[in-house]
Amino acid sequence: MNELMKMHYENKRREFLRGSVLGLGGIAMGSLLGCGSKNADRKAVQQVAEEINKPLVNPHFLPKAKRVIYLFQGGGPSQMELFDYKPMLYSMHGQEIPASVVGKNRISGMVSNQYSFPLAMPAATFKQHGAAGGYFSDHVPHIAEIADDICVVRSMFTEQINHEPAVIFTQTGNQLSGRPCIGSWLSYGLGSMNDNLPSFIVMVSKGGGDQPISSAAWSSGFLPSHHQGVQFMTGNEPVPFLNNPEGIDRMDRRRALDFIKGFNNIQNEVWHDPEIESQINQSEMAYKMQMAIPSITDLSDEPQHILDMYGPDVMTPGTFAHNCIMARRLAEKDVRFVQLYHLGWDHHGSIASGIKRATSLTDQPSAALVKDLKQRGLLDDTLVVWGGEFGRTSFSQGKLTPEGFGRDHHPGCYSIWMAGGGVKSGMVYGESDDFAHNVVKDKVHVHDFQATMMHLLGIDHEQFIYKSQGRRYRLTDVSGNVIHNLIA
Amino acid sequence: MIINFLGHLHPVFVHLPIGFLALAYVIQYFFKSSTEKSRLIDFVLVAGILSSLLAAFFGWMLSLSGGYEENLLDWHRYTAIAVCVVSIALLAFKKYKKEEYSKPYYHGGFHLMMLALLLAGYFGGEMTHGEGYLLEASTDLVSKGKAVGQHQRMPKPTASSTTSDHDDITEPSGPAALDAIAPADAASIAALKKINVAVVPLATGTHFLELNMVNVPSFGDKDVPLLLKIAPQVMWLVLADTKITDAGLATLKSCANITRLNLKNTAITNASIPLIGQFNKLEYLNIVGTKIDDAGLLGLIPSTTLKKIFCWQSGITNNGVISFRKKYPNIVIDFGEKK
Repeated sequence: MNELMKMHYENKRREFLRGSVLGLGGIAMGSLLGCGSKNADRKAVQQVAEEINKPLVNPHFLPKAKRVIYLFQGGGPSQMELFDYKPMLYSMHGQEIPASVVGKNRISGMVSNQYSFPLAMPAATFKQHGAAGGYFSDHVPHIAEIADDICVVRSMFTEQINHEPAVIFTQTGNQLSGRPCIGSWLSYGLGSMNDNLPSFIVMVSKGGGDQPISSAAWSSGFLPSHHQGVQFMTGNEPVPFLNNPEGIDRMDRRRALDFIKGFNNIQNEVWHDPEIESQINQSEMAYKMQMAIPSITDLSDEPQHILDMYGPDVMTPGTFAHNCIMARRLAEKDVRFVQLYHLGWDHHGSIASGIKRATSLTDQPSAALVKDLKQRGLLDDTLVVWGGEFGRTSFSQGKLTPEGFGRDHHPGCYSIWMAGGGVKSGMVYGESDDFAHNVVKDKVHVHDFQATMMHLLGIDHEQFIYKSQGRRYRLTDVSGNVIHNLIA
Repeated sequence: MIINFLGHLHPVFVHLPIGFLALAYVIQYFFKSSTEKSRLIDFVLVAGILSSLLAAFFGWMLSLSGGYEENLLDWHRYTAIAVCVVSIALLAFKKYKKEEYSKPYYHGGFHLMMLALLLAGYFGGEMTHGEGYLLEASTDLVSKGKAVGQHQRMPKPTASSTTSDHDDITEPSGPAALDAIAPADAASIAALKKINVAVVPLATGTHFLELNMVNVPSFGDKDVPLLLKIAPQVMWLVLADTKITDAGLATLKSCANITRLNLKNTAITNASIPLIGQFNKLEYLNIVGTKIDDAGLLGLIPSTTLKKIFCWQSGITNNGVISFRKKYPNIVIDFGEKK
């Protein structure tokens, strides 16, 4: 090492040490000088925050839905292969999509270098079902059976074109993570009917696909953290460490928790940090869940014909079918918001086989859930939502070959369906153009959908607000209209 | 803090310019011309200008605290500024163009100031009392003078104080349209909560309740007396998966406002059918998993409000459902999947 280099390194070392000493020393000095807020100040700040941000407790008006089961289909299910029948795509297969249709729609980076955008006919056949005569593809025969119980919305559109921001946008109303998701808003606003289970439970099914999903989608954001979604695991034990270790009985656990709670309360008196209260709440909830969860997860009391209804995967923990029956059992226990995530709808290539696989895992359980809720009288006040973060392009991603093709992300038009909870049943709402590329009638923006969902739960989305860091926030951000035509 | 405080002074000062400037207008057009009149107008205009500047400043501070409809706020802000500008211009015109102050410009300015004043006041009122406050009152005045002020609201706290061009507030809908009812007996509510019954008001501004026994599977006939005192307030009653029997349910006949009754998986039998028929506001009946059979179902004389019955896994058979449907085609009866 030459002299110059050596000097250079020594300088770096000195810089580092000096910086460290000054930095740490500064922190210590700040603490010694009492730069932190005083207890009384913290208490006052906390009190002001509590006065501004009060949970609703009671809905603004009489709700139609008391709980929600949201079957989120991550990846972007293709509207053209499922619910939005477009005969024009068959006749124009292979032809360029007209420029007038593409318009100003965003296209993703994955097709931006494509010189040709040939239209691709749906890898599906369609038939009319139900009294309203809505079209359903042959990939979803079971959902087609419940056509009279659901409302298909074919005119959804979003602002995001990539998975993560689009999922976060759908769940939180904003494309950047950090805001509370729908389940957290409802947990915070309406609280829980059941004392022994979390008000917001999330289940991510395994075996769907390799598209990742971020836990920011069930984050409580700036709301107290005990309102975040409690994720059930996909294995045999949905809630880990539920059983007491050997030699520890329930009373020991209770005593330990009481002792810890005492410490937490002392700290809370000093710091007035809502996160301490969240910690206390979560510990208590975990204790109660020790008793409540086994009765939820034990499917041995389900009659065989009910299990059969959900399909062959129902007894395999972590599958979508298993999660669907779990969702029903949780709804029976009045859990406010159950969110299922099924991934595997991101069909950039080989959509024919991809959609077949995705629907084979989800079609039967989704329909079974609706039927099961209905026969138990639960669908009346349970809103079921089935949908993803965006749709897919009517043109092929990459070359359109006889062997197959894929479709890219498309935010301009996609389909979802809803059932129960005060939504009109047996209805198809909205209309897209001949290419399922643009919405031409009854547009439903993500914020409109969120506003409508809130409305069904008795909440005026414009009045349900939380002030954080100087700004008032709501799920629908600064927009959103309730779609009254969707409400029964 | 200081901005907040200054903002709160706006309502104190805002009525002064209204008074002064309106007084100037009255003096100008309803008093006989004289030197005193001119001096009096000068004085009142100066007072009006000073107080309007103060009110505008405090108003600006108040707007910084947020919470107002941005659209209305903008209109209020700009019309209020117009009041200040026009009144200052008017005074300047009067003082420095003395020989011309009886010209049309002068009178036009006076009318403009008054118009701006009225508009600023109107938008201020809309912000404080809710959109359509004045118009609603005028409509009501025309149509036999209904009570005004139903729309009265606090400043609307929209997120980030941005525009809201629609109004999604919906009147409570549904059964009995949430008629007025007295508050429920607090001691009874406390007693029910003590045994973990979820007692939930159905909506803001109503005393009707949902009682849900989801946390009390042991709830039985012995516990029923706890809710007798609040029976009129009970609108949704969830007794699913509890130990309630016909005897316990029989004592609930005073629950005259029940619209949703969930008896799923209880030991209820046909004996309760006459009582269920007496709930004359009932819309939803869940008897899934009960012992009620065809005889019970066909013996039910449902209220005219009843819309849905769920009877899966009860003693009811397909034949019973078919007969019931013939009798009451407007009631949806769900028999569920075949066993």
